[in-house]
Amino acid sequence: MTTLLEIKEKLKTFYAKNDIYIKPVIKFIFALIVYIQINSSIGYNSKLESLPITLVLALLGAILPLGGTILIASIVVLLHLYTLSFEVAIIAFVLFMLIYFLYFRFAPKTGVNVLLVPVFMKLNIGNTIPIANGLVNEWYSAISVACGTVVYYFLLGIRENASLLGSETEEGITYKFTAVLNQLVGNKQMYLTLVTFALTTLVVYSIRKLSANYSWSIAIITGLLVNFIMMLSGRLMLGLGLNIVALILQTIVAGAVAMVLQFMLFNLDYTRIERVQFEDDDYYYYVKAVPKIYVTGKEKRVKTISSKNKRTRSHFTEEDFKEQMDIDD
Amino acid sequence: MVNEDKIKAMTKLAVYDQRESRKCAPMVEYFRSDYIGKELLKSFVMGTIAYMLLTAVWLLNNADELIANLYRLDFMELGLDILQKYVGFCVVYMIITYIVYAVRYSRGRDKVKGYHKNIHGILKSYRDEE
Repeated sequence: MTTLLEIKEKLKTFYAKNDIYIKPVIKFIFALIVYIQINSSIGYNSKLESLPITLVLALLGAILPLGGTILIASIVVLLHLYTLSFEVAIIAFVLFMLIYFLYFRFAPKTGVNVLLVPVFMKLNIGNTIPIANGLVNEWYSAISVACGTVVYYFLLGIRENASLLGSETEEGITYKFTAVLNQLVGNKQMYLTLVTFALTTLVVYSIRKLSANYSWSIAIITGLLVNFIMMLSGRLMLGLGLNIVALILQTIVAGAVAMVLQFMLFNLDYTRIERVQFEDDDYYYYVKAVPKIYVTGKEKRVKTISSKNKRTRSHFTEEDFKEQMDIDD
Repeated sequence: MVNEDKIKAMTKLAVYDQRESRKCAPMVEYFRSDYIGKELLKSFVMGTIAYMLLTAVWLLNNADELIANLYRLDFMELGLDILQKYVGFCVVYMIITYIVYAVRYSRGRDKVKGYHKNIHGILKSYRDEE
């Protein structure tokens, strides 16, 4: 445990010192993963699928704020869908506009969930996102998680029916619109996932905000149980396919990620709680102080200073001394 | 001699300047009614566009049925139905906008008050030093 805490402190120090380099690298990797996943799922435009274009777009993602990555990803998706079918692109455009007008103007920072949910759902660990959002974000991030779920199932439906939607049909233009809209309107699996994820986010958020001891751990366990039970019972009731082993594995992975988040962000020692009371001119305060668990870095203790060997002394330079004592210039 | 309390206060001011000052600027520049009114107007425009998009999608989805029943269609009833739903949609959206931005305004004002309190504290410490 102490080793883990030391590693955590070292990571925090390293990040604090080098965040000006680390942040763009993380944003580049994230944008690259997003664009590769978009290309592998709905890569109908061969020019956009090419590696140089993907790398350039990921590089832009490294420089721009997250909103820029979301915008570029939306444009890439629309261009791919336009190559497949004009009608599909129109519906996708309307969907993105609705998400923007009805939600993003209130909470643009949680917009990254619209990218994260499809990415994690494709990796079969989608239930990590509602738990993580409940721990890290506010309650209204449940709406962005729901929007991300809608986007994922919409694109999944397009991919599964690509041959139908991409072909010329004699049925008329409205046939394709209806076919595309049915990916959203009649999709029971989407509604089940949407409700489950939104509820999980809200449950985790509500419990972790309590001032009870071990609130984060209780929130994580409760969130995992809610997610598991709702998915299991929902799939059985709606007659959807159920792979219980996959569901259990997803739950374990989500739990592991949540535990890592808790360790990094909210590691408290509930055995050393202090309760104090004091007052000022306006209020009387009842305060519960829970100390954070952390360790300071190892102290370097000079045990021996050898001066017997002249040769050693002459080779022990100022740089060696500074390195040994961990002194920065 | 380094004054720790002054450094803490100034650090808080610097963090506020970097993170919050842009978000809280409207809370200083506008009265509450003007700020919320501005956001309600934006919501009205965006809500109208969103509703028009939804209506267009609905019309496209039901275009075959509408065209087949064109001669029997009561356009007045259809128009009133669309209008009623538009009014209901706008009312709900504006209520949500009002609540969100009213809460944001009061929280922003509290942050600005805290910022000014820190400034007064630092100025007072400077005067005490003199």
